[in-house]
Amino acid sequence: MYCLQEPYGIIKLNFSFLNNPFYIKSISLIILFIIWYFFSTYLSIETLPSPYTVYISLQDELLNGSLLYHLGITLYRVLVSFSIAMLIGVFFGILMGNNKKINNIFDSWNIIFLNIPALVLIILSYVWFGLTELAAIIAVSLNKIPNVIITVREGAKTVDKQLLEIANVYKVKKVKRFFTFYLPQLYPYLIASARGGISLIWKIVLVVELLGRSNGVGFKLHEFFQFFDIAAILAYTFAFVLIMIAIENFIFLPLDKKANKWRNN
Amino acid sequence: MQDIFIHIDKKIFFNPKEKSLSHLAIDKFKLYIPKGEFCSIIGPSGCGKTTLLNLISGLDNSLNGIINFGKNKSISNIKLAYMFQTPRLLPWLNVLENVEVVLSKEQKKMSISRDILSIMGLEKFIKYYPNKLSGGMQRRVALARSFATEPELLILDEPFISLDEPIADMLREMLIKLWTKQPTTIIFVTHDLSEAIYLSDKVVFLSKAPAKVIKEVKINFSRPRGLKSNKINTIKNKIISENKFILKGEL
Repeated sequence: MYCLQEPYGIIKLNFSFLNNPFYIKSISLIILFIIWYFFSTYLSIETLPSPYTVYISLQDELLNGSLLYHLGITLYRVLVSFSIAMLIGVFFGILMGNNKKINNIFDSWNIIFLNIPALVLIILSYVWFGLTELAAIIAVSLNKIPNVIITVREGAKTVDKQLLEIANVYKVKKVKRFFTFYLPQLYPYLIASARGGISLIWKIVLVVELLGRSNGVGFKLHEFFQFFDIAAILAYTFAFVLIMIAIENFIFLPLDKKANKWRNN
Repeated sequence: MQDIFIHIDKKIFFNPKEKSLSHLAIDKFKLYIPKGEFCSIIGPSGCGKTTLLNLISGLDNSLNGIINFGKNKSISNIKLAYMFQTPRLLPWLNVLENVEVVLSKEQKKMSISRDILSIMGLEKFIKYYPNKLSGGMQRRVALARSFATEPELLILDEPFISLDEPIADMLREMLIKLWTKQPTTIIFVTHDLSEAIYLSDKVVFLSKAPAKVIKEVKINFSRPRGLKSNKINTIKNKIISENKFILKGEL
């Protein structure tokens, strides 16, 4: 806060609203749009449409129904491959974090898969399994699984054995032992890999769609690219980014809060 | 559950890289604890008491010897409660959940955990998470957890250490009350001879590492006993005058 004292105190500036992070985030977003608007009008070239043009394009696509259809398809692919990647990744991550022998067997496999470029996995998957939905899902999941394994494995290594001994001593049933004594220790690692995972996955899904599917956001982007329809490309991008922000805010943040309730309650 | 018979020939912690660093923790250890007895174990620190408890509780099952719980029964058939030196509460569960987490579904229906918690003065804190509790309070929650299961065998590893005297006294009385109400075999590790005399039927003295039993003393003192009774001091002085260094693990 900045404020001039009397008798000069004609101007009183109050910036205390800047303490609220929501205002700061909103203002910075607005500034980004202003910069975009300024460049698009100042340069006035076809390849950089103004925010308004993009908005109109978004409205058109929304009204004729194709936006929702392709968004839905892409979102479905994201969620399916995300679930598969998390399930397999968490399973092997826990196994490898707990057992040195299993870790030695799969560690080199994991490093290889981690370093194969996403594009190679996609191409091979289409070549071997055909231009099918299954091939697309396999390609995306394979790209994400190694990352999940690495994060969860680190988490499994830090698990407090002393707490598991409590379950041993009191002869707690195996299922309860896993979900009440073991898994909560991994929550921070699970949430970290889920958050990182879903944003990586949706980027890969677009490439998969561009290369071998006839619907979805990736397919549409390819089509707009051929027609040089930049406004529509930006419209689809924004629409999907909005969905991902919603997933972060309405699914991951509440989950995170719930898992960490005991830390700051 | 029947009487407990412990016969440990050797317990060695092997060091695979340096054989000379392998540690003989327990050597030729023999102890018999009849069903329902309150047995205290006293020994110098580092003598292998916790190792012994881990063997009895089945957390560690690599030993040369046998630990017998009646006819062909192993620890896996016994309803066991074990209070460790540290509270070991689950940080993501509140106080009540921490006590009830070790109960089976049937036990939860008849649960006495709320009563035990309120006897321990924690009724206002049952919704608190462990990280908001003091060390002494966490310890009381851990105690409540070990009582709530109504065990056949209760192992307590220095449970009242680092609590202030009035609360420790209250918990000692409560332990005796619960033990009279639901007879349980208790193995109680402590450094405090007066405490052991007040609580136990039998006090077992261990040597320095490697641990073995050097003396067993039956406490002939009718119950109920007074916490501040003179008889405790009389018994204590008698034990110490007979063997001056017994608390250091020497005869």
